[in-house]
Amino acid sequence: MTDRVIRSALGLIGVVCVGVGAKFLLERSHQEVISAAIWFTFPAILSDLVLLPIAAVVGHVLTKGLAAWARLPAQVAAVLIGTLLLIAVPYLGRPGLHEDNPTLLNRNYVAGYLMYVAIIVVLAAVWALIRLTRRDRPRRAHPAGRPDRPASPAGGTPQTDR
Amino acid sequence: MSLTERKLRPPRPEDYPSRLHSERLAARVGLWLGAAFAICFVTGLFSHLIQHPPEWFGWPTRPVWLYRINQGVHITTGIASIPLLLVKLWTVSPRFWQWPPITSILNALERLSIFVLVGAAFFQLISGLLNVAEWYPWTFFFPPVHFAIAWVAIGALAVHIAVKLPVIRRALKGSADADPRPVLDGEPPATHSGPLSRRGVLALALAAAGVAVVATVGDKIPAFRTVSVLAQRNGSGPQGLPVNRTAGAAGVTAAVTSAAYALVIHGPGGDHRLSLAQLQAMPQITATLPIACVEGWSQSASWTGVRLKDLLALVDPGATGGARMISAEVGLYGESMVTPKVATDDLTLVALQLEGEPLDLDHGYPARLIAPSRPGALQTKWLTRIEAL
Repeated sequence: MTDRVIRSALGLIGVVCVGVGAKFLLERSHQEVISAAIWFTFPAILSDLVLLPIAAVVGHVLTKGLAAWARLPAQVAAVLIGTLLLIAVPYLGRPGLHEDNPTLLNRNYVAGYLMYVAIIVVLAAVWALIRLTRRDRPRRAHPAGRPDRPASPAGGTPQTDR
Repeated sequence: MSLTERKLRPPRPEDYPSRLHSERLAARVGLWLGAAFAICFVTGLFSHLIQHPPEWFGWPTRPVWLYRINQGVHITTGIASIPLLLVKLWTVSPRFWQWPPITSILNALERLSIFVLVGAAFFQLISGLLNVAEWYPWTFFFPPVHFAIAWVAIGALAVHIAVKLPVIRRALKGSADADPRPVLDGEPPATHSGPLSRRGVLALALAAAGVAVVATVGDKIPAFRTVSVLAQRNGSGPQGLPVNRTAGAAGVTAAVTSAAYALVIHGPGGDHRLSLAQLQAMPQITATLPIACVEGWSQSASWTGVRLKDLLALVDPGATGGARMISAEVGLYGESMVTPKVATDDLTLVALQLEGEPLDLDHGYPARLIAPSRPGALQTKWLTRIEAL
């Protein structure tokens, strides 16, 4: 009963808020509303049609193309590098630069981004090497391998199976 | 299964057997993302109300850094939401490929509400990110439209929570790593394991949010300047302070450097003209106050000048006790309103100096407003006229 009340109240508040937002938006000019509608619609759809498939292909390559000990570090590195790339996009080409204002967008963003990429890659490589040496050690003790790490790479990342 | 063994067709939910597409993971990332959006909404609402204050709204002038924190939290939480949103969408991505696309009217309504939520979420995060980078590849005016879609986003989020409440309760009860229930009811359980565990994905989402914050927060927290390679600014500028709008861009250079410059104080008692020398001869106050831009960057500085209330006292305060600050600049940032509370504050200054030197032209020479806990856009530069209201 309480859940019903909470859900109804939330739903009602939600619909009212959406209505308030729509009202504020429609107070703008037609040109602005159309432009906003484009930026509302396309990222939402393209994330499913472009961004996630790209992530899946990268994940697929990083999984099937790498030895088991390298997969986790590679996936973690790819997620961090990809996240930073998305955030860096508006800074890399600096389309917002004002020629008269040297205090704005005044960093070397390309070099900064590449530095982060380099640090992430190095850390991931060190992590992968640690995993490799740790994996080798118990193998010598148990030639059959540990039960949670089967010799055949059956544990690929399924999100890449598109 | 490899990509090539299959006939070409759109994916189906059952093509996603990964244990990572699980209800418990979606609920947990969703909880964090929901909290981040709530923080963004509230801080954004405050910022809007400060700039367009209704009668009932009062924003405190102490602590002096309150607006700086509000806006820093707003932008930083938005940046942290970018990886959280992507992880959340990836977790529930099988649902996008539901077949048939619509199964009932209720299902159609739910999918519509999800579209509104995802559309608004992307809109807010992308437009906010690009606004900080001052890149406007659209034709709408950012502040009012970002504000409007914020209501759509928070409303669609409330509807989403209302629809999903039983699932959220169920999902949050158990451990993230046990009981793999898929994100789509009626599908086979998602058990296929890859290198990442579900807990691993949660840790990775937080790590990605953390890295994104560290890479961008340096224009708000100077200690992070060296590591924030994607910050909007490096913090340098004339007199050690960045500039948002230069005198050249504002088109005020000739007017404010003229020998005939005077600051006119207008009130019920008539006009009072003050030359720069006369302003300098009045009692001077020095205060350390931050400039905090709506775009998130902020920096503290030492300002010296005349208290606004001392200037208003020259012409008798108006009926309300507030004031209108008018710049030599014509346009959107050419004037700002000061509430009675701000006008009478001891730290509300018409600053003539920054760090002990006359203001740089780009910082608002010869005189600018600097008040505690106030958005930078309202710290009107190149003052030529103050009207007591």
